[in-house]
Amino acid sequence: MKDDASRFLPLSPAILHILLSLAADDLHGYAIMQEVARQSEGKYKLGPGTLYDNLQKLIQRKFVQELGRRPGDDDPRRRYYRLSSLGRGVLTAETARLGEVVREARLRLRIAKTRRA
Amino acid sequence: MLRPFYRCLLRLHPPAFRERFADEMLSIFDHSEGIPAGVRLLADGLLSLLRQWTLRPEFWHELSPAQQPAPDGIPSFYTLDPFRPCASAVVHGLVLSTAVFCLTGFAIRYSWIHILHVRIPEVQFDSPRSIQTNSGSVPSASLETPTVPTRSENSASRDFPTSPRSAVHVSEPVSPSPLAIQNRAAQNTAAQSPTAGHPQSQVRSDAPRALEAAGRPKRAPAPESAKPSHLQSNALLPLERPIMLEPQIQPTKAQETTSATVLAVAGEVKLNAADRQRVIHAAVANLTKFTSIPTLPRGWPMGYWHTKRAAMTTRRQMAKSLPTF
Repeated sequence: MKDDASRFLPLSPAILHILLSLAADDLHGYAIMQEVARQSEGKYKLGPGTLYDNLQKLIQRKFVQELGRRPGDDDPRRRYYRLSSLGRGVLTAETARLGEVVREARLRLRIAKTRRA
Repeated sequence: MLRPFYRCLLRLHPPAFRERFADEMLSIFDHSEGIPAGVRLLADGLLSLLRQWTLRPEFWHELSPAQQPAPDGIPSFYTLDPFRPCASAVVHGLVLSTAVFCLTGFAIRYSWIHILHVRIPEVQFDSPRSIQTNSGSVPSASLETPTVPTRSENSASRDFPTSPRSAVHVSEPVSPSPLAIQNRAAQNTAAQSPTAGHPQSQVRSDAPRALEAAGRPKRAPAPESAKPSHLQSNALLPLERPIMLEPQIQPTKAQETTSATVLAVAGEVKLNAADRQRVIHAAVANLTKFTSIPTLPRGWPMGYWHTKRAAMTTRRQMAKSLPTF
């Protein structure tokens, strides 16, 4: 599973944010946009065109499942999306890769600070 | 106010994308507040439109559920709907085909690597007579040019010395054309007739035939007014009745020079100093043409100019080394 997931790495920022927003719960498109803006504290905003273009690719790669409409929603045009097991594995591998990058970056910055001192 | 524009933009998207996401995108637009947000969504929709038509051709059409294989791997059935390509695909194919055709034609016409050297042979009305040299190393110019049809009858006089290397042997044609056979039979009939040597009948004959006639006894030379030059003159043949003439080909300047070269080498014609100089220069040009000159490989841009300059230099040096008359 890990080897299968590593084939898709690294992920683009848009795909990473979409997978992160779907990791906790099933969401529709507008909710995904709001969740991405909340996670990045307003620094990264997805437009509908970018969102659905990436959702199209994620559905084709089977990272995300389309659940369809829910009867009790206030807007019947909304469709919900769910993170698949493959998408979750890819998100886990990408998070581990980014963790390694962050650890290496902190180590380099600490060494540079020691040399300056 | 901006909603109709946004809806038009969504309708311009590829069908698969529009059917799947257009309602949700319009729902998001309806939830936006204010004109700046609407303008931002409009710009986003325009970018999405360009992206879907240019970068996502794999999502233009998706398989219908009937065309998808069954879960067990065995397709249950296929639809037999008539295939009709969309207008955009037809336009793309037309533009691409035109571009490829134009590029290919342009490359063939203006390429440095000339791979299409098609030499169209010239039309000959009479069967050529093969002229063989003793050495065989230097090809004669008459081998690549058609025979010159006329020459003077008195050109058989051998004033110009013939070197052993340039002696020319004239061989009989393997299969002469019916027209040439008919013409030769008429000449033989005229030679055997009692009224031979009629001064009024003048018939043009080709150079090989004149060379063949050189073996016959010499006749009195024609007056100077009847032969404007040694390159193009009439052969006086006694004829009792008119014969069928061969098609007249007006010789070009290169053919005249080649004919003069051949006749001078064979010792068939008397040349003055200027004509002799010209014949020698023509022979030098032919020798230079068939001499191997080191060339750069084809396709190299300077190869053509290198070859051209080397040929001109060699020709100039050989012309300088020649004696002047």
